[in-house]
Amino acid sequence: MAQKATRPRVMVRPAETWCTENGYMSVHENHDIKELIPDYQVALQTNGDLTLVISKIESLMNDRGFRISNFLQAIRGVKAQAARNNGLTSKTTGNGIAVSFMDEINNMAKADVYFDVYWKVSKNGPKNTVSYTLSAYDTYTYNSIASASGTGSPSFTAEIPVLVEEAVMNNMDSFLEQLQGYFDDCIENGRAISLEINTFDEDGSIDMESLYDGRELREIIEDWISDNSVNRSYNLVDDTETAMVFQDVRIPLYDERERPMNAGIYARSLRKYLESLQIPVKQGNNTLGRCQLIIGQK
Amino acid sequence: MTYETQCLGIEHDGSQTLLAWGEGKNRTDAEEQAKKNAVFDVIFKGINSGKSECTKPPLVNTPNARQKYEDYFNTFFVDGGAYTTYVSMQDHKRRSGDKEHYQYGEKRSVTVRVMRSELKKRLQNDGILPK
Repeated sequence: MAQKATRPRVMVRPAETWCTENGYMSVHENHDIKELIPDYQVALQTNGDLTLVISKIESLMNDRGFRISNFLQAIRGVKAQAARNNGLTSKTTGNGIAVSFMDEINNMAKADVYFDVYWKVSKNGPKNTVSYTLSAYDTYTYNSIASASGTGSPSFTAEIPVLVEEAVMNNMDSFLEQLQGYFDDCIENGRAISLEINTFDEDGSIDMESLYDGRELREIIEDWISDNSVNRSYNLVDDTETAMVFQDVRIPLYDERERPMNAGIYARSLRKYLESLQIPVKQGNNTLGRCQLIIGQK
Repeated sequence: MTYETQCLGIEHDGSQTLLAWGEGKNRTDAEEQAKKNAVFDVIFKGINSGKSECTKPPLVNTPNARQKYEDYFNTFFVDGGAYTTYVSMQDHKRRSGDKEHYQYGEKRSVTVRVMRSELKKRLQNDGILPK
């Protein structure tokens, strides 16, 4: 099959291991559990090599026709949005899925794929050698798509971006082939998202077994998902009286107005359909690839 | 060798010039099938190969639309049916395409022009696409 001309949008960020080795991690306490979180913004603002390496990889990708979303710009966008929203009260009741900082960045950048780049320079006498790993992940599912790693030839140059570029170029073709292969599959068979549907049991009046025109609510929902997933491809992993969890629901890349689709837009169509049947539904937080609907709430 | 429909160019009037393949028992049959395949791909698959500047997503992005509107599209794609209004071979040069023989006939590539904008309007008027 010929390689498709439609290229994914990519975003490049430093790998967590690189942030750890270079001291760009901060400790956060979450319910008495200490977590190490990468401090991407500080790393990008203070480490010149990182900025140059990212811009080098972006330029390599751009030359091959890939569209680029800049990671630092996305971080700034998320922070500006957070500042604007500060003080506004959320309508969400707290039942929504957890949205991480990276989810917010992905929502802002609208990249299809992000790259994690890691490198390490070793000195051998006057020569420098760089070892690197470049990994690509789907921004919707966080699944690993492609990976390349290697070690460049020993060089007298001390310019890290040049060393990284030389090393990356050696394995670039197979890396891009894996990446494009994954995206071509998305074009043909749709993109995978997950959808969680819960019933809100304040008075226990609605659950998945409630009947509407002689059909159980769970049947209505599953029929809709089946009709509206590409090639009827989805996986119902949890089906109880109060919840349904769908994974690997294949949705088209674009909607009817040729806008990129995501889990939120997809779930909105399901919400509207259920509301047309007089079923109250609230849409919880969503990321590009995950969304939650709460039935019985508005 | 790829048999995928490829974009050769855009005409800035809402049409796309495509290289499409068709199979048939003879030349006429294969060319007609290629025209049909080109319109089918513009509607359901999108044009993702060829020149990157003229690739387009499918006109109909509703999942399983071919099944959902089966009766409509069966009539639309009948030999000599409505699809012929939206495709022409005005850009095709004689003897320019590739040809392959196989057991039941031949496989040919032809250069066709698909009137994407008109096609979109038609699908909107017929209620397949939102206006």
